[in-house]
Amino acid sequence: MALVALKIRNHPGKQALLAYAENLVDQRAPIDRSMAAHLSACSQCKAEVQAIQASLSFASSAPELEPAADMTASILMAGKSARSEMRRGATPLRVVFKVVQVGACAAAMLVVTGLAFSAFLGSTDVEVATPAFDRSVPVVARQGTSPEAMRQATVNVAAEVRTLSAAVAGVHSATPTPEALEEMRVVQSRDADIAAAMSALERNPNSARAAHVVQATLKQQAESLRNIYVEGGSL
Amino acid sequence: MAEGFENVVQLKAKPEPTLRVVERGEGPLSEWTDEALMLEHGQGSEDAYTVLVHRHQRGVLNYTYRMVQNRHIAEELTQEVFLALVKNGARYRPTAKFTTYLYTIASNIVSKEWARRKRRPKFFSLSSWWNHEDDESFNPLDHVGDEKANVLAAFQRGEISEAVNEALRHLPEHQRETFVLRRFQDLSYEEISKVLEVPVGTIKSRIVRAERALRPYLERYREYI
Repeated sequence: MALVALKIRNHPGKQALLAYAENLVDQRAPIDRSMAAHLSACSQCKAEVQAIQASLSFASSAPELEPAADMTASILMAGKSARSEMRRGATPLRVVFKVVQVGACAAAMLVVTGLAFSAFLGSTDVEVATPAFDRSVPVVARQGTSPEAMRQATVNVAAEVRTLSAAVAGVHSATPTPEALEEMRVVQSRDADIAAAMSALERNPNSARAAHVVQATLKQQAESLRNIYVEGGSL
Repeated sequence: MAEGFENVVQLKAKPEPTLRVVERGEGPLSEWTDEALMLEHGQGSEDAYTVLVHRHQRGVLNYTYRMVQNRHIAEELTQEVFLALVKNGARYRPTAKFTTYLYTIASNIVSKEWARRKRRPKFFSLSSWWNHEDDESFNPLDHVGDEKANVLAAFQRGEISEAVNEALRHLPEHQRETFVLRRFQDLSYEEISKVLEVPVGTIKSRIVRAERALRPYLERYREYI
């Protein structure tokens, strides 16, 4: 009886309980007998271990993403290009060319920004930001798509998002429906996606894939805004 | 101690990392260790690089996905991680497990991505809908008590993965990163400590806090299974 009381009085620390629960979930090491003895006598620690175990098991049950075949191909292709680039080395002429290339790209960014995003982001109906995007839309053509077509597609989707966001911002309600709230959450989380896509495109201005992601994300945003607008009566 | 040097502070020199002994692999490359493959890749072997990509792309993709929670961006970052392997291949020294090296690169790339995001303002803020234009920190969605609707919506999309992501969003970045490396990437505390360059005790403490913070969200999701 005295031993049980001692066991219960000396509660293990949080880290020890977590380690024990982790081991129950992952089964990497033999069970710690002294901890097991304590848990058998202490309902408080036992409940804590069970709660941790349940959380960890649930988190571990989340399925993993499978890499798409085109992602693998693009990683290998990018590696190959980088390797051959490194083998050739950067001669002075190549450095000059690179500088010119970057300058040309920056100029192109400004042109496209002017066309696509200045009006788009200039809306006063919705709180929007401009400075960070002033340099983030390079002209990139997907394979088989001309730069002009790419630019036009960006202009179109940007204009669509602008129109929809202005329309949605005009609809106010203090008690939006759960459906509208869910859609608004999506819109808001996609803000970050759009920023990240822009950022990726900025890092890889020659990546058709990155340009495609920007357009695709803008299209998704337009779709969500349209859904919110359609449900405007209940907003 | 020599006279006159009593007050000289002796700085502890940072110990040189110990090189691990890596034997060159034998047999097909698919059976080589990561470290041997990386050394071979450093010598210019494209095949060794290909094996490394196939072996680790899934892990890196899932790590970046849990961190940035967007598949497209995660794929971009995964490509960056492997590109860094190419650029640094010749300088690679096996001072730790390859996965420690790999996730250190991945962690740095994710950190840069977060830093970029923080510098960027919101694209479309919803705050105007609630007339809180003057309060930039106000997030209307933080003030919505309808968590149940959120849980249901996540499960209506039929994705435990989405539910876990939703829960992870509530963690501070350093806790999320530690938890993801431990639970999803299966790194040991020591490896995580090297990746994030913080003591093992701090890593353990972060995992405990992360689990405590995630628990109510995960419990809520579990109820709907």
